[in-house]
Amino acid sequence: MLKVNKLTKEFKSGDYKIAAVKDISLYIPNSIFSTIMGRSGSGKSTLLSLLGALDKPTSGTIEVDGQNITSFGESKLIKYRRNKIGFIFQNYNLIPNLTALENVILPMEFVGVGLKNKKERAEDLLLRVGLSKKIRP
Amino acid sequence: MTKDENTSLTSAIDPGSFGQRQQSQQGNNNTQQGQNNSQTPRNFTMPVTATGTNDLNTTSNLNVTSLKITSGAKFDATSSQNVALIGTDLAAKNNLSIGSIFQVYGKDIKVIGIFDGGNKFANSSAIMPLKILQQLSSQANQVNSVIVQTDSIDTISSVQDAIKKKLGDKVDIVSQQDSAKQAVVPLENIKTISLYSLIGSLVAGAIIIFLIMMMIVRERRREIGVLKAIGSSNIKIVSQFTVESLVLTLMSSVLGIILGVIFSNPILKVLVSNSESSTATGGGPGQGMMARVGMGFMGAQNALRDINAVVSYDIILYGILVAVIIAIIGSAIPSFIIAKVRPAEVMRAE
Repeated sequence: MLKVNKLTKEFKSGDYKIAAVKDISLYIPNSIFSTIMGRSGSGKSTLLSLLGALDKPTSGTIEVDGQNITSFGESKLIKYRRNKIGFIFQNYNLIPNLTALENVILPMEFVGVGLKNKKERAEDLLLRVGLSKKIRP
Repeated sequence: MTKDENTSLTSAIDPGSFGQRQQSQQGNNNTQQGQNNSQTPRNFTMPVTATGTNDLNTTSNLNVTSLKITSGAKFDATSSQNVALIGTDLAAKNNLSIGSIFQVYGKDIKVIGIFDGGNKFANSSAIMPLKILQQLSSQANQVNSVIVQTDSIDTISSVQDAIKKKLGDKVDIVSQQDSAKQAVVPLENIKTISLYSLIGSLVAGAIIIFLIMMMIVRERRREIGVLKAIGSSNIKIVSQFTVESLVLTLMSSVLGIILGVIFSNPILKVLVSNSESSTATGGGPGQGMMARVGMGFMGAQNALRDINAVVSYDIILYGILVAVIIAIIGSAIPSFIIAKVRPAEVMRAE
């Protein structure tokens, strides 16, 4: 369950403040596939960054499964990102000196998945998205 | 000693122009005397020098530049046998080889070794046990000179005072402290140069390592942002960058140590030779002094040419330690600063 209440994110540009997201409120129940649509520059990426705890809102609250993540400290935010969020960036953001398999394995490292399971799971995921040719030992 | 008086040996040194003048003068005198006394001219011959010693390991008291045994062997320093080492030229001139016998003061002396003394005069001389030469020349317990060698340049004055107190006016004591100090001036110069080089290279190395590490970490800001976005902790990010920089630093240190060991001696030789030439042009007190009792370090200048640089383990360990500390600081601080920033801000800044 995701509940957003009057979420605002402002950026400073010199003496000016620009609101990328302003007073957004939304509710997404569990097991729902949702899509956010809008014009370029309307604040979609900023909103997703706030929901994924990659950025801190200027005001408003975000509740995930009943927990207000905007009040989280650094360690709780790390756990939240590690365990609750899967983020696919606009420009991929792969680690350049790692293979495709290692890039997929990397988040599992932080969760503590076993070595054998990590590899099997990563290979399975690459297979499912049609990147089996990228699997190299 | 001269051939006709005390030894059967003939000098290997030609009289030269001085000798020829002497010969000519003696001839004229003798001719004049001959006119009066009917005496024949007497040929001038160079004397054969024999040096008595009880220490064959110190060349400075043997009137030789170096002592290299070309055949046979050295005698025991405290030997009481009628033996001698003779120079290569003297041996050739008198057809002597190992086991040959010649006479000194009427006694048979056996050749047990032939040496190369490093110069013409040394190679035309003989070296015998001190005790034997004293007996043969009826100068028991008498010596011309004694060279006292001290353990350290710092104790020369006190040793000099002690000898003066013991022997009084019987001997002239000349300290070679000034020349010894002169001889080690190149080392002092090298020490100063090395110290400043060390400080300079450490500071420069520290700055370079620090800046490189900062640059590497800053260039990988996006990677830090991604790692944070997928759940990596700040500690893990700092540890990763620190370990990476430590591996790089240790590999560089090993390479640096190998290059240091290889090039330390050639660099030292160049430094010594440069320092020697710069100090030699300055001259210095004590040069050319004759000593009845000489105080050590006479071969210090020669010893400088045999000097070797030794890279000790503690220096290597200190060097690595400093490099490691700088690498840790240089990587941990910037990675920690970047890791503290929100992932979106880091990636937005790219």
